[in-house]
Formats: sequence, structure tokens, C-alpha cells
Amino acid sequence: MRKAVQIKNLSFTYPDGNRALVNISLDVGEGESVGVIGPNGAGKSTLLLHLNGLLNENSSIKIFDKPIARENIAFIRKKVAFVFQDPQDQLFMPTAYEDVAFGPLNLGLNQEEVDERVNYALSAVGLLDKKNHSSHHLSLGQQRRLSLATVLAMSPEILVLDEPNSNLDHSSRRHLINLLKNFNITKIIATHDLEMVLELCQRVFLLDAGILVKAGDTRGILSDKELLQAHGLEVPLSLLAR
Amino acid sequence: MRHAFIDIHAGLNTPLHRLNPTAKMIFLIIFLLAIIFTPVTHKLWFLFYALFSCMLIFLSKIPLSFILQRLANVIPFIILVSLSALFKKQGHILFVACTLKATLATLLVLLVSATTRFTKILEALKRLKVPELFIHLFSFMYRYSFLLEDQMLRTQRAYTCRSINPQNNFAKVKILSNILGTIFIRTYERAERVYLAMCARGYKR
Repeated sequence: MRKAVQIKNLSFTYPDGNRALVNISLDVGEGESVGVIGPNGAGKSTLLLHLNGLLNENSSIKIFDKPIARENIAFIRKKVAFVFQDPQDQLFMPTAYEDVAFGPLNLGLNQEEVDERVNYALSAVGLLDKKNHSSHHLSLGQQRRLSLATVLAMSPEILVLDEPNSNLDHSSRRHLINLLKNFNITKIIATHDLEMVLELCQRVFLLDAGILVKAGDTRGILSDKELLQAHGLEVPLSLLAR
Repeated sequence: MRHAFIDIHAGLNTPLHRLNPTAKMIFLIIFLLAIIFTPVTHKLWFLFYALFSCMLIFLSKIPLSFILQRLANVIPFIILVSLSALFKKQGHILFVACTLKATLATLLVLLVSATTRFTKILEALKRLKVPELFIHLFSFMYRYSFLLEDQMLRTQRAYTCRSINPQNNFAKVKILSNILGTIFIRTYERAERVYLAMCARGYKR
């Protein structure tokens, strides 16, 4: 299997001295869905931000065998789509259409192609009728889906999601999970929703205090009660019942 | 908490609202230039400008109270700036000129912004070849002003909930400055995240 993401010995310290990641090494195969789990402040978001070269250039990370370096950054941002946790950060344009068109326009596509992609992405998430709405008039569930559309329009190969379903009501959460299920691309999802991880991800990385505590098969890790408890997590109810 | 304080009256249907936004911007620029370059001694011209503005307000069907309120927000600043003219020789003429011209100009800008949706104004500016960086700045200002207002409102509520004993004014000012500081930092951090979100979607500058 081709490697979508390769990370070797990645460490990262924020300018204020906060050590967010310590010596992380992991691989994600093409087409694989992986979950990144761990307590608050474990370094999940920091790890994800690295995948798009947003924190700094880093030769310890390779996306499709290309290291994150200045000359590859355009390639990497085309391949890797990052969806921020807070839709208010992700959606910065006055209308939904402009938000979704932002990425494709930056890819240098012409107006016709941009329109086509916007229509495709908005209908994929079921928001075509909200095209001319401004994002602050949408519900949180709609905002989350619109955030997804903004990156789908760039037809990425790796989808990186930071807590895609926090604060969603049941039906919005279900809608989002079903959407994600239907995308057959590499997915890297940081979340506290272990039930969703169970449903979507084949493998899981457990992070705590910037350290990769364990990596492995989803069911194996999520049913390890002691391991999860030691790192501020709980075995999902659906696994307990068995 | 959803507000449309910017586009409150932009949805009315009058000839002024229906006018093409680009045309409106061009008229606005011409009138602003005319006001700026008319010597203040030409009293009749200013009478004409004032009457013309009043006619436009009437045509736009925008409530007079709305216009006056917005104007009242700006006039103190106009007067503050114009005051410096009083220290010059014959300064009172310059003072009157500055105040009058700036007030008329504000009135016209108010009218255009109140009768046009903000997104349409941005489109018009784009068509008039205003640099894209400025348009981005304006559109962010628009997009995030709602969020900022919500944030202020929530912070104020949280403050009210936890301030049980009445405080003296000095203590209140101190707390207010703390709140403003917190909001500034949050806004700054959001700006950083939004910039990252733009970069993530291929924005380069």
C-alpha cells in the first residue's frame, strides 16, 4: 500500500515553551481511515496542523513521499485538506458560495471549473440551496458540513479533520458520519467521539502529553479499559455491552 | 444570536436600492470629490448639496432616526478633528468648512451603505478595480463583525451573571478594560487561525 503520510521522530515545541509533540513516528496508508484520540491538550490538533505544513517546514513529515518543504507546499496543500475545529475559523468569506470557491480559485481554475466544483461540493454535503447564504446564518451542523464542502471542492486525497462533530445534535452528527463514510479517500480524524472512531476508522493513534502512547487496530485499543482510563478516555458503550 | 445590523435597511425596495451598486459607488465618488473641492464660501452650492442629500434620504425610505443616530456616532470625531483648525489664523472658516464637508460626506456614504447590501458593495469595489487585498480586508471586517458582537454580548452576560454586588465606577472601568483585553487576545488568536485556514486552502501572499 502506498503511504499517504509518513512521520518520523517529529517533535514540536510552541514558542511559549509548551512541548506539544515528543518524538512521534507514524504512518498512514493511502485510503486508510485513522483516528487520533487522547485527552484535551494531548497534542492532537498540533499533530494535524503539521500535516498541512501550517506550523513550520519539517523534513520529518512526508506526504506521498514528499517532505514538507517550501518547494512542495503547493503540492501538499492540494493533496491535504484540513478542516478546522471551529467553523468560524474555517468559513471566512461573506457567502457560502465564496467560501467554497476560495480554494478552487487559489488552485488557479477558471470560473467555469470553479462553479462546477462549488456545485459538486455543496450538493455532496446537501447545502446547494444555501449557496448565497452567509455562514453565520447557518446552524452549527450546516456550518460543519459547509466546512467540509470548502475542502471537498479542492478534490483532496487526504482529509484531515479536527473534531468534526463536537457540539452537534444527534441527527447532524449522524449526517456527518454518513457523509464521511461515503468519501473513499484517506481520512485522519482527531476526535473525542470514540463511537464515531469505531464506525469510521480502521486504526487508532492514542496521544497523551505529546507522546504517541499506542497505535493499533481500533477495536483492540478501544476495548482496552485500563489503557483508555489511564489516558482520560472511556471504553465506548457499544463495546462494553459485548 | 444573529444580527444584521449592517444590512438592516438594505432589503427595502426603492429606486435607490435598485440602482446598480457600481453606479452608486461612481456617483458617490463624484459627489464626494465635488463636496471636497467646492470652496466653503459658495454657500448656495452647499445648500444644494444638503437639499440633494435630504431628497435622497426621502427617496430611500430609510428612517430619519436611523440616519441621525449613525450620524451622531460620527460627528463627535469630525468635530474633534476640525477643532485643530481653530488654532490657525482665520481658523473658524476652516473649522466650519471641515465640519460641513465631512458631515455631508458621511451622510452620503451612510446613504450608499444603508441602501446596498455589503456583499454588493464589495462586488462593486471589485469591478472598480480596488486592490484585492483591500476587498479581502473589508469582507473579513464584515464577516467577523457579527462574531465580535456576539462575543461582546456573551462576555457581557457572563460578567453580569457573576457581578452580584454593585460596584463603583472605578472598579467597573477596570473590569471593562480586562474584558477588552481578553477579547483583543481572542480576536488576535482567531485572526491567526483564520490565516492558517486560508493557507490550508492554498492562499499565498
